[in-house]
Amino acid sequence: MNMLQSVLLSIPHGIIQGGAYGAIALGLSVIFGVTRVTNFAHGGMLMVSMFMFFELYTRLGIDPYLGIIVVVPIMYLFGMAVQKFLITPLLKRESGTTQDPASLLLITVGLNNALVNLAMMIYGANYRNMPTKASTSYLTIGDAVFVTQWSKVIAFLASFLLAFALWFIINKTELGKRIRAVSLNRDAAAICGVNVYKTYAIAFGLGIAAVAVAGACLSEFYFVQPSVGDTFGTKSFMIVVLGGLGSIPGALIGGFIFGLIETVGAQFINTTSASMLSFLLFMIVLFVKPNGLMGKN
Amino acid sequence: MNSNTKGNFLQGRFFGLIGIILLLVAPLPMPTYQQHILVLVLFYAYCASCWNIVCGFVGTLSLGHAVFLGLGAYISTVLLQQLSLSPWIGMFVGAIITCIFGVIIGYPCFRLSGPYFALTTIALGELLRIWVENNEYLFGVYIGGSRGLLLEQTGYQPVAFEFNGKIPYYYVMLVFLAVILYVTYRIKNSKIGYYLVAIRSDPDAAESLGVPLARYKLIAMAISCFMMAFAGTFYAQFFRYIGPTRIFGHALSVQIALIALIGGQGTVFGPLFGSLLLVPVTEFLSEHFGGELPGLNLFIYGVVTMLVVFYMPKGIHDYIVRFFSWLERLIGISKKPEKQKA
Repeated sequence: MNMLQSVLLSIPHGIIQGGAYGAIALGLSVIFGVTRVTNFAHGGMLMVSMFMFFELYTRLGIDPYLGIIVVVPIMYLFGMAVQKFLITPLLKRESGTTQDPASLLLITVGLNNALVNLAMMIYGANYRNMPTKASTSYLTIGDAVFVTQWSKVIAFLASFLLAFALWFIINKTELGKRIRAVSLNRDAAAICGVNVYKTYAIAFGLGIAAVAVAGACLSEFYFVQPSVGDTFGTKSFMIVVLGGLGSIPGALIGGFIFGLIETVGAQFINTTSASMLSFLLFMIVLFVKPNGLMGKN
Repeated sequence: MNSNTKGNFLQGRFFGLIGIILLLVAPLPMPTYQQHILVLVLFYAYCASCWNIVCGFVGTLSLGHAVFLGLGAYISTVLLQQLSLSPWIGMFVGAIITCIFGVIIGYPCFRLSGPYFALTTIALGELLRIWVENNEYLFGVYIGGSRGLLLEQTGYQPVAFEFNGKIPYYYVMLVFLAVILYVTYRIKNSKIGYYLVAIRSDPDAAESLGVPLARYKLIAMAISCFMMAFAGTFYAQFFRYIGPTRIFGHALSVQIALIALIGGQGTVFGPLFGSLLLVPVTEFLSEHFGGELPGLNLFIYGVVTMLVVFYMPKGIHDYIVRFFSWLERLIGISKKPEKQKA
């Protein structure tokens, strides 16, 4: 196979990989866009949801896709609880003084450390995977020219569904109206009778529920391990910033760009070096266009 | 508590003095392992103090400071291995290069605020880590790739920054720490310090009063990177090994930041307090429970961080100073408690 062919073939792989990145970043985009909280515990939350799917699969034999029904509501409540008990008190405390993003950032860094290492204590550092039906059957196109796991294809499609669902909730429902109002102007929304902190909690819960859905798709083809969220957490941040704050299509597009640049880049340099490219791209975009590719002004 | 530091270097003078004496003699009667932990306490206190100069005073959160540590370590080690240059000299070469690198990086970064700055520093750290892990040679010079660089044991050679046992390392680090504390103190009580605090409290107001934001942030960055590189050289000489995964790693950057923040950002002794509190506990836990419960020490870091952010947003520094002032008054050493207001 010549170089051109392998590069061309890496493009669909990259897009599929990007779908998974996008799915993970979507939840963060909602949280970051609405509450302006830099949720560094996003990767930790992803990891927690993946371990829940793992437990359901190994103990009860429930496929992660089915497990969504159980895990997503739990993660939604977990997200609401984090906002209510950890972040809202800080927002209230600092609303009078100058806003100090450092403490909000720090509390999520602390939470992430606690979650990741709690999982490390319970499960150890071993890599686990789930040989589900979707992960062991393959989609083959042509004479084995393009082969990929079905679970990756499902993840790719799910990212669109998830993006649509979030877009629908935020743009077409009464709840979404409140969320948009709060994200535009917290004080004005409060004057209009919107319960700001409750809306924040719902938005945070939504974001975490979204990451749990992404976790279900990811656990079908990726290993489950306590530090699995570290890279994904950092990268989803960069994807969200790249795509523009709070922009749902932006998060998806940012995910595709990351997936493409890493997979196509891996054809020229080795795979581990390729993830360097996405960090480089992020830094360049931030220096040139600090509002992101799809960000408004 | 923060406003009256001028002319009052040691607020709890009596206990401060006891503290200094304790730091001077503490490792002497201890077994090697405890000495090792004490060296680590001072090392992390030093790193956190460097971080404090730029991030504690300016208020921007760098989560990639290990980059400068790693650069310092690599430069002096490569110079030692390739040119047999003593790390005592290589340390300064590393510091100058790291300083230039930090200023070049800081120039565009400081235009970004809050989370963007933190994210850029993370990206930078990851970028450098992955690059070093995947390259064994830089312009034909061996840098070890993901295996890192191993420094051979050559025995007792003070000229080459190599000693027997932990005690000499301890005192070298103690001198380093004294220097950085003095530098922090001088910065805090100089024009730069006042400017930096003004920038932290309200950048717009500071700029409108004619404070050149970019220049002073960069000065702080330069000092911080310069000092950070020394710690890198120390790390390489003390552990006799540098691996990119650890020394450029995100975990180390976060650890340094957390020690300073838990100790008290923007204070002179905060990072030392933070290190004294956290490092022995976590090292002890990882030593005794590392086998059965890996991650317990970092779990503690996480929980302590959340508690400190929640209940002591300014860090433990103020509480410790207040406690010892109270203790001094209680046992009647400090005759004039109103000295606090001077």
